[in-house]
Amino acid sequence: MEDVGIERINDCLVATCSGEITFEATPKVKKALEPHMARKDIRALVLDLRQVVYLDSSGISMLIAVNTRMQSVGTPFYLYDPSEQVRKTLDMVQLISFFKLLDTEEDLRRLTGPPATKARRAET
Amino acid sequence: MLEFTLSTTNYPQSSRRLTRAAISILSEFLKEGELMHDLDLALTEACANVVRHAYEGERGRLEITLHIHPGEKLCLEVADWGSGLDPNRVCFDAPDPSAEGGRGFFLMKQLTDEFQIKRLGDKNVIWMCKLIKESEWKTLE
Repeated sequence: MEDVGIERINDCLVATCSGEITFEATPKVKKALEPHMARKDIRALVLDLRQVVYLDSSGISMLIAVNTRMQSVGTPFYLYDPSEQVRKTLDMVQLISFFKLLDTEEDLRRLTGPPATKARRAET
Repeated sequence: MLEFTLSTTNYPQSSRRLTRAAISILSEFLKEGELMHDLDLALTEACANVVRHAYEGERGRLEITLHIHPGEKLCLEVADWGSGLDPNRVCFDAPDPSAEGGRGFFLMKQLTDEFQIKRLGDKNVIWMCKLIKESEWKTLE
């Protein structure tokens, strides 16, 4: 597996993985995410899984552990556009609807875009 | 029937390399696609189980044997000589969604048509068979 890329988009953090998330690669992903999981200055953590071609049960365990941790700190955790293979594996273990998914680039943009400014009511 | 045996030591990196080598052999017989991914995942789960549990932190041998019945089926045998699995204590059900572990055997069973845990002398075997449609084979020889 390649290194995990971390990018901040406005007040969201997007971590990008590629290749295989298996028993041997899971510690690397955990280590990369660990320093960011308790951050108070982000409103969402997104894991970009578009380039992940393989996910085994160790990878699934890691995703659940991150999800649980993010729930405990009150920051939503999203999976961004998992590849067909990853979706199939998550579906097989009946978890595809357990995670919050961002299916499209538009979904990601909507989440990570700057907070909408409140429309000012015209003064009369 | 054709038979191939590959073996290594139970390091995590070696385990994945061993699985890839087995898949490389299978790719000579089977077409690329979803089926190969499923076989890869079933083998990876079985090998990861050996790495994590069979030798209780010690080094030991991990072996894959492919039994290829061209035009019919594949049987995948993953063996170790460690502490062994008690089939009565293995859970094949899907765990609670929030449970972090316990999906390896569930996945192996979902991905194959026949699944057994065997003890043959001092050898522990995870035995998985998959029926393969004729259209999935590259060659029947």
